[in-house]
Amino acid sequence: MERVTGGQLDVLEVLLHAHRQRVQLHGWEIMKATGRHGPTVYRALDRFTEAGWLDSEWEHENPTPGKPRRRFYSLTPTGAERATAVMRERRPQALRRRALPAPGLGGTFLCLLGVR
Amino acid sequence: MTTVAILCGVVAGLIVAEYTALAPLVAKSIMRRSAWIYYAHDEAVAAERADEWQALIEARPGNLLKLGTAFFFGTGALGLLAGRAGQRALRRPLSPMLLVQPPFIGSMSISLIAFRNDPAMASIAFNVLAFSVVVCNGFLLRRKRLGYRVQMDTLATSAPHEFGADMLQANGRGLTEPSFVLLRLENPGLREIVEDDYLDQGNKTGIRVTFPGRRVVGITVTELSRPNCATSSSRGPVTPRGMPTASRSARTTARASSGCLGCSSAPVPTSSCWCCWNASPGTRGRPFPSRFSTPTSGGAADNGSGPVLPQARIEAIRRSGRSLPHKHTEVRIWNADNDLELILPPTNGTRPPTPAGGRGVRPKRLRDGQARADRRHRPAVAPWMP
Repeated sequence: MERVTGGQLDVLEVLLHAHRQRVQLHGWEIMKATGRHGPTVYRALDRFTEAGWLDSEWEHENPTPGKPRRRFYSLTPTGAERATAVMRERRPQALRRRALPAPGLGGTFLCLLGVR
Repeated sequence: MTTVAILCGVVAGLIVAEYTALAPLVAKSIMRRSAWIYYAHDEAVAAERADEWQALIEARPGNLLKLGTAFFFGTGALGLLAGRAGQRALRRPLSPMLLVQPPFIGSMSISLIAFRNDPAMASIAFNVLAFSVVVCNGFLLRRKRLGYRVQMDTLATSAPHEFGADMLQANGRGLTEPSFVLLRLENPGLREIVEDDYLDQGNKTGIRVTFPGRRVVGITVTELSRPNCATSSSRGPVTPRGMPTASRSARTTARASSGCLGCSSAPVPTSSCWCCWNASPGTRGRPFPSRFSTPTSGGAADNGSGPVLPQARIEAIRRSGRSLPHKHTEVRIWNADNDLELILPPTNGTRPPTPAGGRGVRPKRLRDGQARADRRHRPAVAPWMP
Protein backbone atom coordinates (compact mmCIF):
# COMPACT_ATOMS: atom_id res chain seq x y z
CA MET A 1 0.00 0.00 0.00
CA GLU A 2 1.54 3.28 -1.11
CA ARG A 3 0.39 5.76 1.48
CA VAL A 4 -1.60 5.27 4.67
CA THR A 5 -3.18 8.44 6.00
CA GLY A 6 -3.78 9.28 9.62
CA GLY A 7 -7.44 8.30 9.49
CA GLN A 8 -6.60 5.02 7.86
CA LEU A 9 -3.98 4.37 10.50
CA ASP A 10 -6.62 4.92 13.18
CA VAL A 11 -8.94 2.44 11.52
CA LEU A 12 -6.12 -0.02 11.07
CA GLU A 13 -5.16 0.29 14.71
CA VAL A 14 -8.70 -0.45 15.87
CA LEU A 15 -9.07 -3.37 13.51
CA LEU A 16 -5.72 -4.80 14.55
CA HIS A 17 -6.63 -4.76 18.20
CA ALA A 18 -9.99 -6.30 17.40
CA HIS A 19 -8.20 -9.01 15.45
CA ARG A 20 -5.96 -9.75 18.43
CA GLN A 21 -8.96 -9.96 20.71
CA ARG A 22 -10.73 -12.10 18.12
CA VAL A 23 -13.74 -9.83 17.85
CA GLN A 24 -15.45 -8.36 14.88
CA LEU A 25 -16.52 -4.73 14.63
CA HIS A 26 -19.31 -3.08 12.68
CA GLY A 27 -19.14 0.38 11.15
CA TRP A 28 -20.49 2.38 14.05
CA GLU A 29 -18.13 0.70 16.52
CA ILE A 30 -15.17 1.54 14.32
CA MET A 31 -16.34 5.13 14.02
CA LYS A 32 -16.78 5.34 17.78
CA ALA A 33 -13.41 3.82 18.52
CA THR A 34 -11.48 5.95 16.07
CA GLY A 35 -13.39 9.17 16.63
CA ARG A 36 -13.35 9.75 12.89
CA HIS A 37 -16.23 10.78 10.67
CA GLY A 38 -18.16 8.16 8.76
CA PRO A 39 -16.91 8.98 5.26
CA THR A 40 -13.32 8.79 6.46
CA VAL A 41 -13.85 5.44 8.10
CA TYR A 42 -15.67 3.93 5.15
CA ARG A 43 -13.09 5.23 2.71
CA ALA A 44 -10.47 3.40 4.74
CA LEU A 45 -12.59 0.25 4.92
CA ASP A 46 -13.07 0.30 1.14
CA ARG A 47 -9.38 0.72 0.59
CA PHE A 48 -8.37 -2.09 2.92
CA THR A 49 -11.01 -4.36 1.46
CA GLU A 50 -9.75 -3.75 -2.07
CA ALA A 51 -6.21 -4.45 -0.90
CA GLY A 52 -7.31 -7.79 0.53
CA TRP A 53 -6.50 -6.82 4.10
CA LEU A 54 -10.09 -6.84 5.27
CA ASP A 55 -12.96 -9.26 5.24
CA SER A 56 -16.58 -8.55 6.07
CA GLU A 57 -19.73 -10.52 6.76
CA TRP A 58 -23.35 -9.70 7.48
CA GLU A 59 -24.94 -10.89 10.65
CA HIS A 60 -27.90 -13.22 10.20
CA GLU A 61 -30.19 -11.15 12.35
CA ASN A 62 -29.86 -8.12 14.57
CA PRO A 63 -30.18 -9.10 18.22
CA THR A 64 -32.54 -6.16 18.69
CA PRO A 65 -35.85 -7.01 17.07
CA GLY A 66 -36.86 -4.72 14.23
CA LYS A 67 -33.36 -3.37 13.63
CA PRO A 68 -31.53 -3.84 10.33
CA ARG A 69 -28.66 -6.28 10.01
CA ARG A 70 -25.14 -5.05 10.61
CA ARG A 71 -21.99 -5.75 8.71
CA PHE A 72 -18.92 -6.82 10.66
CA TYR A 73 -15.34 -6.30 9.62
CA SER A 74 -12.19 -8.23 10.51
CA LEU A 75 -8.64 -8.36 9.26
CA THR A 76 -7.56 -11.25 7.10
CA PRO A 77 -4.36 -13.08 8.13
CA THR A 78 -2.46 -11.25 5.39
CA GLY A 79 -4.05 -7.98 6.43
CA ALA A 80 -3.09 -8.56 10.05
CA GLU A 81 0.54 -9.12 9.07
CA ARG A 82 0.62 -6.04 6.88
CA ALA A 83 -1.21 -3.96 9.44
CA THR A 84 1.24 -5.00 12.14
CA ALA A 85 4.14 -4.04 9.90
CA VAL A 86 2.59 -0.67 9.12
CA MET A 87 1.82 0.02 12.75
CA ARG A 88 5.27 -1.02 13.82
CA GLU A 89 6.69 1.44 11.35
CA ARG A 90 4.31 4.35 11.88
CA ARG A 91 2.92 3.96 15.39
CA PRO A 92 4.96 1.51 17.40
CA GLN A 93 3.51 2.77 20.67
CA ALA A 94 -0.02 1.98 19.49
CA LEU A 95 0.70 -1.74 19.41
CA ARG A 96 0.84 -1.71 23.20
CA ARG A 97 -1.62 1.05 23.97
CA ARG A 98 -5.11 0.67 22.69
CA ALA A 99 -7.66 -1.66 24.15
CA LEU A 100 -11.08 -1.90 22.61
CA PRO A 101 -14.14 -0.86 24.56
CA ALA A 102 -16.28 -3.71 25.67
CA PRO A 103 -19.45 -4.09 23.67
CA GLY A 104 -22.71 -2.76 24.99
CA LEU A 105 -23.55 0.01 27.42
CA GLY A 106 -20.72 -0.90 29.75
CA GLY A 107 -18.21 -0.47 26.99
CA THR A 108 -19.70 2.87 26.03
CA PHE A 109 -19.51 3.99 29.64
CA LEU A 110 -15.87 2.95 29.88
CA CYS A 111 -15.17 4.67 26.60
CA LEU A 112 -16.74 7.88 27.89
CA LEU A 113 -14.62 7.66 31.00
CA GLY A 114 -11.54 7.30 28.85
CA VAL A 115 -10.89 3.76 30.05
CA ARG A 116 -10.23 1.67 27.00
CA MET B 1 -38.98 39.16 16.62
CA THR B 2 -36.39 39.22 19.31
CA THR B 3 -33.32 37.08 19.54
CA VAL B 4 -34.77 35.26 22.49
CA ALA B 5 -37.84 34.29 20.47
CA ILE B 6 -35.68 33.00 17.64
CA LEU B 7 -33.55 30.97 20.02
CA CYS B 8 -36.67 29.56 21.69
CA GLY B 9 -38.00 28.50 18.30
CA VAL B 10 -34.76 26.79 17.37
CA VAL B 11 -34.54 24.99 20.70
CA ALA B 12 -38.17 23.90 20.47
CA GLY B 13 -37.54 22.54 16.99
CA LEU B 14 -34.53 20.59 18.22
CA ILE B 15 -36.52 19.16 21.11
CA VAL B 16 -39.32 18.09 18.77
CA ALA B 17 -36.76 16.51 16.43
CA GLU B 18 -35.12 14.68 19.31
CA TYR B 19 -38.33 13.22 20.69
CA THR B 20 -40.01 12.36 17.42
CA ALA B 21 -39.10 9.98 14.61
CA LEU B 22 -38.51 12.82 12.20
CA ALA B 23 -34.73 13.11 12.67
CA PRO B 24 -33.97 9.39 12.21
CA LEU B 25 -36.15 9.31 9.12
CA VAL B 26 -34.34 12.24 7.59
CA ALA B 27 -31.00 10.77 8.58
CA LYS B 28 -31.80 7.41 6.99
CA SER B 29 -32.94 9.13 3.83
CA ILE B 30 -29.70 11.10 3.65
CA MET B 31 -27.64 7.98 4.26
CA ARG B 32 -29.46 6.01 1.57
CA ARG B 33 -28.99 8.75 -1.00
CA SER B 34 -25.38 9.23 0.02
CA ALA B 35 -24.64 5.54 -0.46
CA TRP B 36 -25.98 5.64 -3.97
CA ILE B 37 -23.88 8.70 -4.72
CA TYR B 38 -20.70 7.27 -3.19
CA TYR B 39 -20.98 3.95 -5.00
CA ALA B 40 -22.70 5.05 -8.19
CA HIS B 41 -20.27 2.96 -10.21
CA ASP B 42 -21.55 -0.31 -8.75
CA GLU B 43 -25.22 -0.74 -7.96
CA ALA B 44 -24.73 -3.90 -5.92
CA VAL B 45 -22.17 -2.27 -3.66
CA ALA B 46 -24.36 0.83 -3.38
CA ALA B 47 -27.34 -1.25 -2.26
CA GLU B 48 -25.18 -3.08 0.30
CA ARG B 49 -23.79 0.16 1.66
CA ALA B 50 -27.25 1.70 1.83
CA ASP B 51 -28.42 -1.18 4.02
CA GLU B 52 -25.26 -1.05 6.09
CA TRP B 53 -25.54 2.67 6.71
CA GLN B 54 -29.16 2.27 7.72
CA ALA B 55 -27.94 -0.09 10.42
CA LEU B 56 -25.21 2.37 11.32
CA ILE B 57 -27.79 5.11 11.88
CA GLU B 58 -29.83 2.74 13.98
CA ALA B 59 -26.79 1.94 16.11
CA ARG B 60 -26.01 5.62 16.59
CA PRO B 61 -27.54 6.77 19.86
CA GLY B 62 -29.52 10.03 20.00
CA ASN B 63 -31.92 11.21 17.33
CA LEU B 64 -30.16 14.51 16.72
CA LEU B 65 -26.82 12.76 16.68
CA LYS B 66 -28.15 10.46 13.99
CA LEU B 67 -28.91 13.55 11.96
CA GLY B 68 -25.43 14.89 12.63
CA THR B 69 -23.79 11.68 11.47
CA ALA B 70 -25.91 11.66 8.34
CA PHE B 71 -24.91 15.26 7.72
CA PHE B 72 -21.25 14.28 7.35
CA PHE B 73 -22.11 11.53 4.88
CA GLY B 74 -24.36 13.95 2.99
CA THR B 75 -21.77 16.69 2.70
CA GLY B 76 -19.22 14.17 1.50
CA ALA B 77 -21.65 12.99 -1.15
CA LEU B 78 -22.33 16.55 -2.27
CA GLY B 79 -18.61 17.15 -2.62
CA LEU B 80 -18.34 14.02 -4.71
CA LEU B 81 -21.18 15.22 -6.94
CA ALA B 82 -19.45 18.56 -7.45
CA GLY B 83 -16.22 16.83 -8.40
CA ARG B 84 -18.00 14.63 -10.92
CA ALA B 85 -19.70 17.67 -12.43
CA GLY B 86 -16.30 19.27 -12.90
CA GLN B 87 -14.96 16.16 -14.58
CA ARG B 88 -17.94 16.06 -16.94
CA ALA B 89 -17.29 19.68 -17.86
CA LEU B 90 -13.71 18.78 -18.67
CA ARG B 91 -14.74 16.04 -21.05
CA ARG B 92 -16.94 18.33 -23.12
CA PRO B 93 -15.55 19.65 -26.39
CA LEU B 94 -13.87 23.01 -26.36
CA SER B 95 -16.27 25.82 -26.94
CA PRO B 96 -15.25 28.25 -29.67
CA MET B 97 -16.63 31.10 -27.57
CA LEU B 98 -13.84 30.62 -25.11
CA LEU B 99 -11.23 31.15 -27.75
CA VAL B 100 -12.37 34.70 -28.39
CA GLN B 101 -12.47 35.66 -24.75
CA PRO B 102 -10.34 38.68 -23.97
CA PRO B 103 -7.08 37.93 -22.24
CA PHE B 104 -7.17 38.08 -18.50
CA ILE B 105 -4.31 38.32 -16.13
CA GLY B 106 -2.20 35.26 -16.53
CA SER B 107 -4.30 33.93 -19.36
CA MET B 108 -1.51 32.22 -21.24
CA SER B 109 -3.04 28.85 -20.59
CA ILE B 110 -6.64 29.90 -20.92
CA SER B 111 -7.48 27.00 -23.22
CA LEU B 112 -6.44 24.59 -20.51
CA ILE B 113 -8.88 25.80 -17.93
CA ALA B 114 -11.38 23.33 -16.62
CA PHE B 115 -14.45 25.34 -17.50
CA ARG B 116 -14.10 24.72 -21.17
CA ASN B 117 -17.67 25.05 -22.17
CA ASP B 118 -18.56 27.97 -19.98
CA PRO B 119 -16.78 31.22 -20.81
CA ALA B 120 -18.41 33.07 -17.94
CA MET B 121 -17.16 30.52 -15.45
CA ALA B 122 -13.75 30.58 -17.11
CA SER B 123 -13.49 34.34 -16.70
CA ILE B 124 -14.58 34.13 -13.10
CA ALA B 125 -12.09 31.37 -12.46
CA PHE B 126 -9.26 33.34 -14.01
CA ASN B 127 -10.08 36.45 -12.08
CA VAL B 128 -10.19 34.43 -8.89
CA LEU B 129 -6.88 32.85 -9.84
CA ALA B 130 -5.28 36.20 -10.58
CA PHE B 131 -6.58 37.62 -7.33
CA SER B 132 -5.23 34.61 -5.48
CA VAL B 133 -1.82 35.09 -7.04
CA VAL B 134 -1.81 38.73 -5.99
CA VAL B 135 -2.91 37.84 -2.49
CA CYS B 136 -0.32 35.08 -2.23
CA ASN B 137 2.41 37.32 -3.51
CA GLY B 138 1.50 40.34 -1.45
CA PHE B 139 0.19 38.97 1.78
CA LEU B 140 0.99 35.32 2.21
CA LEU B 141 4.53 35.47 0.93
CA ARG B 142 4.88 38.87 2.55
CA ARG B 143 7.04 40.25 -0.21
CA LYS B 144 8.01 43.89 -0.30
CA ARG B 145 9.11 45.76 -3.31
CA LEU B 146 11.09 48.87 -3.88
CA GLY B 147 11.59 50.05 -7.41
CA TYR B 148 13.26 52.92 -9.17
CA ARG B 149 13.26 54.51 -12.56
CA VAL B 150 15.72 56.77 -14.27
CA GLN B 151 13.32 59.07 -15.99
CA MET B 152 15.90 61.45 -17.39
CA ASP B 153 19.69 61.66 -17.62
CA THR B 154 20.94 64.48 -19.74
CA LEU B 155 23.53 67.21 -19.95
CA ALA B 156 22.39 70.65 -18.88
CA THR B 157 23.91 72.01 -22.03
CA SER B 158 21.79 69.89 -24.30
CA ALA B 159 19.74 71.88 -26.75
CA PRO B 160 16.31 71.23 -25.29
CA HIS B 161 17.52 72.07 -21.82
CA GLU B 162 19.56 75.17 -22.34
CA PHE B 163 18.19 76.96 -19.35
CA GLY B 164 21.39 78.52 -18.22
CA ALA B 165 23.89 75.86 -17.42
CA ASP B 166 26.43 78.56 -16.73
CA MET B 167 24.24 79.72 -13.88
CA LEU B 168 24.81 76.52 -11.96
CA GLN B 169 27.52 76.72 -9.39
CA ALA B 170 28.74 74.93 -6.31
CA ASN B 171 30.57 76.69 -3.50
CA GLY B 172 30.73 79.79 -5.63
CA ARG B 173 32.41 78.01 -8.51
CA GLY B 174 30.86 77.23 -11.82
CA LEU B 175 30.23 73.69 -12.95
CA THR B 176 31.62 72.17 -16.07
CA GLU B 177 29.35 69.98 -18.13
CA PRO B 178 26.64 69.71 -15.53
CA SER B 179 24.10 67.01 -16.04
CA PHE B 180 20.67 66.42 -14.66
CA VAL B 181 19.11 63.19 -13.61
CA LEU B 182 15.50 62.63 -12.74
CA LEU B 183 15.25 59.61 -10.49
CA ARG B 184 12.03 58.09 -9.30
CA LEU B 185 11.93 55.81 -6.30
CA GLU B 186 8.68 54.09 -5.64
CA ASN B 187 7.01 51.34 -3.74
CA PRO B 188 5.09 49.27 -6.29
CA GLY B 189 4.40 46.49 -3.81
CA LEU B 190 1.40 45.81 -1.67
CA ARG B 191 3.03 46.38 1.68
CA GLU B 192 4.41 49.48 3.18
CA ILE B 193 8.15 49.71 3.56
CA VAL B 194 9.00 51.03 6.98
CA GLU B 195 12.21 52.26 8.48
CA ASP B 196 12.86 48.92 10.12
CA ASP B 197 13.02 47.30 6.71
CA TYR B 198 16.25 49.10 5.94
CA LEU B 199 19.37 47.24 6.87
CA ASP B 200 21.54 49.88 8.38
CA GLN B 201 19.22 51.49 10.87
CA GLY B 202 21.97 53.33 12.67
CA ASN B 203 22.75 55.15 9.49
CA LYS B 204 19.93 57.33 8.24
CA THR B 205 20.77 56.56 4.67
CA GLY B 206 18.66 53.73 3.37
CA ILE B 207 19.48 53.59 -0.32
CA ARG B 208 22.46 54.92 -2.17
CA VAL B 209 22.87 55.59 -5.85
CA THR B 210 26.38 56.25 -7.03
CA PHE B 211 27.48 58.10 -10.12
CA PRO B 212 30.92 56.96 -11.23
CA GLY B 213 32.84 59.76 -12.79
CA ARG B 214 30.35 62.33 -11.60
CA ARG B 215 29.95 64.35 -8.50
CA VAL B 216 26.54 65.01 -6.97
CA VAL B 217 26.28 68.68 -6.11
CA GLY B 218 22.60 69.19 -5.57
CA ILE B 219 19.34 67.48 -5.17
CA THR B 220 15.74 68.46 -4.85
CA VAL B 221 12.58 66.45 -4.51
CA THR B 222 10.22 67.55 -7.21
CA GLU B 223 7.38 65.20 -6.51
CA LEU B 224 6.33 63.53 -3.33
CA SER B 225 3.26 61.40 -3.50
CA ARG B 226 2.75 61.20 0.26
CA PRO B 227 3.64 63.91 2.74
CA ASN B 228 4.93 61.39 5.23
CA CYS B 229 7.72 60.43 2.83
CA ALA B 230 9.35 63.70 3.82
CA THR B 231 10.30 63.76 7.45
CA SER B 232 12.79 66.58 7.41
CA SER B 233 13.89 69.36 5.16
CA SER B 234 17.35 69.29 3.71
CA ARG B 235 18.95 70.37 0.56
CA GLY B 236 22.05 69.56 -1.31
CA PRO B 237 25.27 71.48 -1.05
CA VAL B 238 24.54 73.57 -4.11
CA THR B 239 21.88 76.08 -4.86
CA PRO B 240 21.97 77.20 -8.43
CA ARG B 241 21.29 80.81 -8.97
CA GLY B 242 17.64 81.37 -9.64
CA MET B 243 16.71 77.84 -8.67
CA PRO B 244 14.11 77.58 -5.94
CA THR B 245 15.27 75.55 -3.01
CA ALA B 246 13.63 72.24 -2.41
CA SER B 247 10.40 73.08 -0.74
CA ARG B 248 9.31 69.48 -0.39
CA SER B 249 12.50 67.72 0.32
CA ALA B 250 12.73 64.24 1.66
CA ARG B 251 15.51 63.22 3.94
CA THR B 252 17.76 62.99 1.00
CA THR B 253 21.35 64.03 0.94
CA ALA B 254 23.92 64.43 -1.72
CA ARG B 255 27.55 63.67 -1.08
CA ALA B 256 29.53 66.04 -3.13
CA SER B 257 32.80 64.25 -2.78
CA SER B 258 31.78 60.72 -3.58
CA GLY B 259 29.33 61.12 -6.39
CA CYS B 260 26.83 59.30 -4.26
CA LEU B 261 23.21 60.14 -3.74
CA GLY B 262 21.88 58.86 -0.45
CA CYS B 263 18.17 58.48 0.07
CA SER B 264 16.98 58.28 3.61
CA SER B 265 15.51 55.21 5.21
CA ALA B 266 12.13 56.87 5.29
CA PRO B 267 8.88 54.90 5.20
CA VAL B 268 7.57 54.35 1.71
CA PRO B 269 3.84 53.65 1.67
CA THR B 270 2.45 51.60 -1.14
CA SER B 271 1.96 53.36 -4.45
CA SER B 272 4.09 56.26 -3.34
CA CYS B 273 7.22 57.66 -4.85
CA TRP B 274 9.91 60.25 -4.76
CA CYS B 275 11.13 62.06 -7.81
CA CYS B 276 14.54 63.56 -7.32
CA TRP B 277 16.28 66.06 -9.50
CA ASN B 278 19.97 65.58 -9.24
CA ALA B 279 22.42 68.07 -10.60
CA SER B 280 25.85 66.61 -11.05
CA PRO B 281 28.82 67.80 -13.04
CA GLY B 282 30.88 65.06 -14.53
CA THR B 283 32.31 63.38 -17.51
CA ARG B 284 30.21 63.67 -20.58
CA GLY B 285 28.94 60.43 -21.95
CA ARG B 286 28.95 58.58 -18.68
CA PRO B 287 25.71 56.70 -18.32
CA PHE B 288 23.59 56.84 -15.25
CA PRO B 289 23.68 54.96 -13.00
CA SER B 290 26.20 52.23 -13.35
CA ARG B 291 25.93 51.41 -9.70
CA PHE B 292 22.84 51.09 -7.56
CA SER B 293 23.70 50.11 -4.06
CA THR B 294 22.06 49.67 -0.73
CA PRO B 295 23.71 49.63 2.64
CA THR B 296 24.84 46.26 3.77
CA SER B 297 25.11 45.05 7.30
CA GLY B 298 28.74 45.96 7.18
CA GLY B 299 27.84 49.46 6.18
CA ALA B 300 29.79 49.29 2.96
CA ALA B 301 28.03 51.19 0.29
CA ASP B 302 29.72 54.49 -0.31
CA ASN B 303 32.87 52.88 -1.49
CA GLY B 304 30.99 51.13 -4.23
CA SER B 305 31.02 47.65 -2.82
CA GLY B 306 27.28 47.21 -3.23
CA PRO B 307 25.55 45.36 -6.02
CA VAL B 308 26.58 46.47 -9.44
CA LEU B 309 24.06 46.91 -12.17
CA PRO B 310 25.57 47.70 -15.51
CA GLN B 311 23.76 50.31 -17.48
CA ALA B 312 23.19 47.88 -20.30
CA ARG B 313 21.28 45.58 -18.03
CA ILE B 314 19.24 48.36 -16.50
CA GLU B 315 18.24 49.59 -19.88
CA ALA B 316 17.60 46.14 -21.21
CA ILE B 317 15.25 45.35 -18.40
CA ARG B 318 13.65 48.74 -18.37
CA ARG B 319 13.05 48.80 -22.07
CA SER B 320 11.54 45.36 -22.12
CA GLY B 321 8.48 46.76 -20.42
CA ARG B 322 8.36 44.04 -17.82
CA SER B 323 8.69 44.09 -14.09
CA LEU B 324 11.43 41.59 -13.53
CA PRO B 325 13.47 40.84 -10.48
CA HIS B 326 17.07 41.72 -10.76
CA LYS B 327 19.13 39.15 -12.54
CA HIS B 328 22.30 40.22 -10.86
CA THR B 329 23.37 37.63 -8.34
CA GLU B 330 24.33 40.07 -5.63
CA VAL B 331 21.01 41.86 -5.82
CA ARG B 332 19.08 38.62 -5.72
CA ILE B 333 21.02 37.46 -2.69
CA TRP B 334 20.32 40.77 -1.04
CA ASN B 335 16.63 40.40 -1.89
CA ALA B 336 16.49 36.94 -0.39
CA ASP B 337 18.31 37.94 2.75
CA ASN B 338 16.14 40.95 3.44
CA ASP B 339 12.71 39.95 2.18
CA LEU B 340 12.83 43.01 0.02
CA GLU B 341 12.76 42.95 -3.70
CA LEU B 342 14.26 45.51 -5.99
CA ILE B 343 12.56 45.56 -9.31
CA LEU B 344 12.60 47.75 -12.34
CA PRO B 345 9.05 48.60 -13.30
CA PRO B 346 8.42 49.74 -16.85
CA THR B 347 8.78 53.45 -16.99
CA ASN B 348 6.01 55.72 -18.13
CA GLY B 349 8.33 58.66 -18.25
CA THR B 350 10.97 59.61 -20.72
CA ARG B 351 12.98 56.99 -22.49
CA PRO B 352 16.31 57.30 -24.19
CA PRO B 353 16.25 57.28 -27.96
CA THR B 354 16.86 54.01 -29.68
CA PRO B 355 20.01 54.29 -31.75
CA ALA B 356 20.01 53.08 -35.27
CA GLY B 357 20.93 49.46 -35.42
CA GLY B 358 18.56 48.39 -32.71
CA ARG B 359 20.98 47.64 -29.90
CA GLY B 360 19.95 50.73 -28.05
CA VAL B 361 20.81 49.78 -24.53
CA ARG B 362 23.77 52.06 -24.00
CA PRO B 363 23.65 55.78 -24.66
CA LYS B 364 25.84 56.91 -27.47
CA ARG B 365 29.03 58.77 -26.86
CA LEU B 366 28.74 62.14 -28.43
CA ARG B 367 31.21 64.67 -29.64
CA ASP B 368 31.66 67.98 -27.92
CA GLY B 369 28.78 70.31 -28.43
CA GLN B 370 26.55 67.68 -29.88
CA ALA B 371 23.06 67.52 -28.49
CA ARG B 372 22.80 64.37 -26.48
CA ALA B 373 19.16 64.12 -25.80
CA ASP B 374 16.16 64.45 -27.97
CA ARG B 375 12.89 65.94 -26.99
CA ARG B 376 11.75 62.81 -25.25
CA HIS B 377 14.29 63.44 -22.53
CA ARG B 378 12.66 66.66 -21.55
CA PRO B 379 10.73 66.45 -18.32
CA ALA B 380 7.15 67.35 -18.42
CA VAL B 381 7.46 69.93 -15.65
CA ALA B 382 10.55 71.78 -14.62
CA PRO B 383 9.38 74.32 -12.08
CA TRP B 384 12.65 76.15 -11.78
CA MET B 385 13.29 76.56 -15.47
CA PRO B 386 13.37 80.19 -16.53
